[in-house]
Amino acid sequence: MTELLVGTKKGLFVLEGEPGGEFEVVARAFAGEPVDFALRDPRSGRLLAGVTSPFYGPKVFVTDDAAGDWEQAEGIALPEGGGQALERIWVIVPGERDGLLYAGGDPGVLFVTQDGGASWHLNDALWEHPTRPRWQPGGGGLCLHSIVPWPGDPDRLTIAISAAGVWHTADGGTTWIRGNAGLDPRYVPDEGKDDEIGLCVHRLERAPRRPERLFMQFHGGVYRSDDAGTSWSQIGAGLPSDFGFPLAVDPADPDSAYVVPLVADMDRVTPDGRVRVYETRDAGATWTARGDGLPRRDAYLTVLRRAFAQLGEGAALELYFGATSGEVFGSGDAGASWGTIARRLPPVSSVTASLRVI
Amino acid sequence: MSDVLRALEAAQPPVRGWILDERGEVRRHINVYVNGERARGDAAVREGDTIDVLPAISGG
Repeated sequence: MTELLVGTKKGLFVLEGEPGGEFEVVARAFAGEPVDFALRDPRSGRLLAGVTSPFYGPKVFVTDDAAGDWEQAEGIALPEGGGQALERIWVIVPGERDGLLYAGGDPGVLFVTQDGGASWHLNDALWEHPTRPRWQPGGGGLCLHSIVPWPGDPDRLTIAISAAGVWHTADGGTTWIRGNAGLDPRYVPDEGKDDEIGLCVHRLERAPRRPERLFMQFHGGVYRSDDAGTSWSQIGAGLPSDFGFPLAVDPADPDSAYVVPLVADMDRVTPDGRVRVYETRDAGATWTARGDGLPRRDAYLTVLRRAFAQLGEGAALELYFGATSGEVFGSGDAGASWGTIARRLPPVSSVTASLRVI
Repeated sequence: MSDVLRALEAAQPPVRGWILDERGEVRRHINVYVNGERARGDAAVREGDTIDVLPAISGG
């Protein structure tokens, strides 16, 4: 049984079903409130959700039962009196030690918990980074949306911020260095491109079996790094568009990546009224459209950066993505065939998937 | 008025962060009234005054 946590503009929806089969909504939480991201920590089984009430601001809540009571986590706030307020939590990611998780938020902030999510603290080195006053927000705000640990090493971490680029730490977040060589922000004048300002990364993923390899969907451009995110090469040739938001990988195959191209930054819908996921199995040299079972006509969807999830690996890789139209699509065979598993949810912000043993 | 709300947070810690943000500002879609008059953070409050905190139920 697969469980999907679907964060929407009007609450969290929990769906359950078999890969490649039907899914049903089994629980809803935070009715009426925007749920930007939700995750089941596979180690503890606990659920964590980032919720941004338009009235009461962004919070993280944790629970053991989605349909039960959720407890507010402590420490999800910026320093008082600092002139800035937390706007939103974009992503929550388990770290490489029991109880360790990270949360990324707007304005470009990283929170860390060591107790499974009950209490958090702000990463001071990133918050106080001397370049921060020059960071520029993207259209979604100054969002820290991607957090990719290094398998087996809790001190080594890569993050991405829209639009402050890629950052690495090798000492548990005490110091941060940038990793943006080769990124080409086409929307910046040539004379400003060396400034590493306004680098609008949309999503970053690591190939876990070859951790020095990363894939990136940029704001115009799909990239690969083979040196742990120090430098980047464009791999978007062969796609109908290299603009898009989400990206997923098959953990079993370091040469694999999946993207959902949109027309362009000025027209953020699926091209030609067709919904297609594009897959590479040769590290971006070629791309293959995967649309069997997805809408083929009159479908102009927007898929946001955290609304694409993967579970499992290899031939049994499961892929799930949601659109702002309220539809959720799923594949139980690594993208070879697809089905519509939810049709009329509120606009989808995020999708995560986990294995449920009944 | 904002001093009163800070005192409320101190007395009732779960309220912290729900009305005032980290800057000490009333959250954007919350309105605070003193004796029925919409008030800003620097509004004067006297003993016996009534403060109402109301979320503006707005949105799409």
